[in-house]
Amino acid sequence: MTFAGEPVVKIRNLHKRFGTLEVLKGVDMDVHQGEVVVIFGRSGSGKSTLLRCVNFLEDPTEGTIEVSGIALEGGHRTKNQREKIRRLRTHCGMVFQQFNLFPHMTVLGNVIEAPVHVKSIGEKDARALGMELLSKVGLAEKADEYPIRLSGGQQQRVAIARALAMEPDVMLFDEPTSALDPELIGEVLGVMRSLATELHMTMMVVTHEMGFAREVANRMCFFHEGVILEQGTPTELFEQTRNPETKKFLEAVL
Amino acid sequence: MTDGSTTTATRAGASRPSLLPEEPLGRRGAFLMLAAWVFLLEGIHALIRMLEDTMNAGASWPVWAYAAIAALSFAAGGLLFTSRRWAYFAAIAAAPVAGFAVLPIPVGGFFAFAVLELALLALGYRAAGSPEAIQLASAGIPWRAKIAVVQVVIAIVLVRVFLAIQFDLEWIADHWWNIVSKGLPLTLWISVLAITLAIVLALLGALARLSRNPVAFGVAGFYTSFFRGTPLLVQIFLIYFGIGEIGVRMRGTPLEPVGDLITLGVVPAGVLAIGLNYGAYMTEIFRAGIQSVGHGQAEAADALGMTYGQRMRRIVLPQAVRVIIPPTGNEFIAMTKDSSLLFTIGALELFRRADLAGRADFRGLEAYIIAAAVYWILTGILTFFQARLERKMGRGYVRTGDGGTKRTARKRAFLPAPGVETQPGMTYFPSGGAGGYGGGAGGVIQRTDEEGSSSMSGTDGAWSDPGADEEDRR
Repeated sequence: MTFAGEPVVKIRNLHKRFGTLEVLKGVDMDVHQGEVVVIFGRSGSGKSTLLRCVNFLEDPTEGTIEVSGIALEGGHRTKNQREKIRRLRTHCGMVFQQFNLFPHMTVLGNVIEAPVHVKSIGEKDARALGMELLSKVGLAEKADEYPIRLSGGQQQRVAIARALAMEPDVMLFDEPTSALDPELIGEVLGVMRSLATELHMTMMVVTHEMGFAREVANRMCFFHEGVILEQGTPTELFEQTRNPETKKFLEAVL
Repeated sequence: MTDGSTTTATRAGASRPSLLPEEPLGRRGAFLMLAAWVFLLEGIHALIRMLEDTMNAGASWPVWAYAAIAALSFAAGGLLFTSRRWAYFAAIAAAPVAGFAVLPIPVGGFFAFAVLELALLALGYRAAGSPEAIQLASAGIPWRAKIAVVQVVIAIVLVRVFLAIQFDLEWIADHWWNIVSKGLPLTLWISVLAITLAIVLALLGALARLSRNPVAFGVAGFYTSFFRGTPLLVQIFLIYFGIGEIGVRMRGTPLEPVGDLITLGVVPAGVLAIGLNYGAYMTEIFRAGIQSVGHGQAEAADALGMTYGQRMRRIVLPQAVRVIIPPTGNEFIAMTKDSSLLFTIGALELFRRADLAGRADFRGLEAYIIAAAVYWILTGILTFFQARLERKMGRGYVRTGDGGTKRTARKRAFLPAPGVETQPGMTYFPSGGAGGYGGGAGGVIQRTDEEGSSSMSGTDGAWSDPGADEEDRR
């Protein structure tokens, strides 16, 4: 499967420094429509930071990010740029490691919150959309529950539905299964797989789930010390890698 | 071998002196403890009698006689607590001296005290000199019972002292309603207005203290620093008299309308001063409440494309309110009391009314007692409601499952009912832990059924495990 045309996400020369610590040292990446990119690497290698820079939860120190035609430079922010960032964010759906559901809202309330208040679509339409998404993730019965009454896996599925409700052009997954008990990981990965195979959603996934990566990813990027050390199809990385670092890491996690 | 071990055990059991004597020492000690307390009460009685007799012209003895009885009784009671054997006999000697020495004159309770003391001392004879007797007896009495006794004694002493000093109950009966009905509404009105102002200021102050806008941050810093760093009374005078003087100085200048505008009446000035002062303190409460909402919540809101306003209004503040409301209730209670400071600028609130009425009839003590009692009752009522509110709000964090299981409250706290299956195989168990805030999760959701394992297959329209769905529907 090849991907062509104008990429959905375009990252150029991305640098991110926290004080004197340089976490990202010049990253370039294009993610095309329908592509599933799995980003992996040791902790501290900068993979989460990259993802968080895409929707400006972290402000890049240097470089350019473009999502759905909205391009922004790193550095200081004027009000105009902040508004641009906000618009860029409406094109990115983000799923967090800790779910970050809103505890004071019902499951359905969580899902329709952004469509109603950010996109200003009517509450009735939003509810219909929300229920549809909740049944997609298998939680339609839980629509009126509060998040605390759900298991971690269910909460994460709600979080995915919440992100999808904005009809984003790209979904960003920041270690979506790392906070889950082992028996709950499967249901979340199942939903993510369906996202890729049925909706052909463009996805950037930071994860350690190599089984999922091998099966679903179109491209895998191995992060090492703030740069993409190696990238390619799962077959290329799992079976044909020559890079000693990649090899060492894969041997450690597989 | 078996024999040997048995004998050893028996011998060990026999040779070791039992920690509890056959007849519990505590029971005997209880008599001595009671005797000691009766002595102390006799001392208090003697002091009050001194007041009663000398102030009501029925004086029978010289003041030193009462004082001597009091001193003797306090000494005897105090010594008894030392559990010394000689103290026991000293107390036996002291009882009749205090009780009978003044027999020819009307005895007024001292005789009864002496009889009671001697009887208790006799009953406690076997515990005399045993150092642990009184401690053991004391340990056997429930804490609440002790406290109740202390409260009753305080109440009796207060009533007797008031009666002794010719407290004018009639005046109180005649005037209390007038004072309360005229003064309390204004006190409450000032408090309600001031807390409203304070809440608005605290919210703005907290948002400013958390913002990266230098003007907002700086202004809020100046505000909280000044109003927390100066006394409320000074602020009241500054705003009422001080700003009033600015108005005076503006007279005859083109700024005269402005001067008129800032020359405030007593109640507006008072509400402004209290509101500003409390707003400064509550800024910190609000700031802490907002910060207590996890950073992930703000990030989730940001990631969805919310503006700062939406994030605050829809996500952060609704969660912060749960943390903010209980201490705000406390501030309101404190405010109702501090509103009495407006007395100084002539606001006709509760305390001022009481003072005026008292001065008119030279009944200051009675008037102030009325004011104190009304504030006390008022704060008692408010504290009761505040505690309920606090329980309700705090339930989601720590205290769960105890004290009321109203569904609405539980829903507000985002928690299921205890023991309820929250999903197939998962049951919520509230922890019975200590009270207070900020303890993180209050209960645990535990897997009670090991069947609900999930697999990764996902088809038939839904993306999740069909097996799990099957269970969900049940």
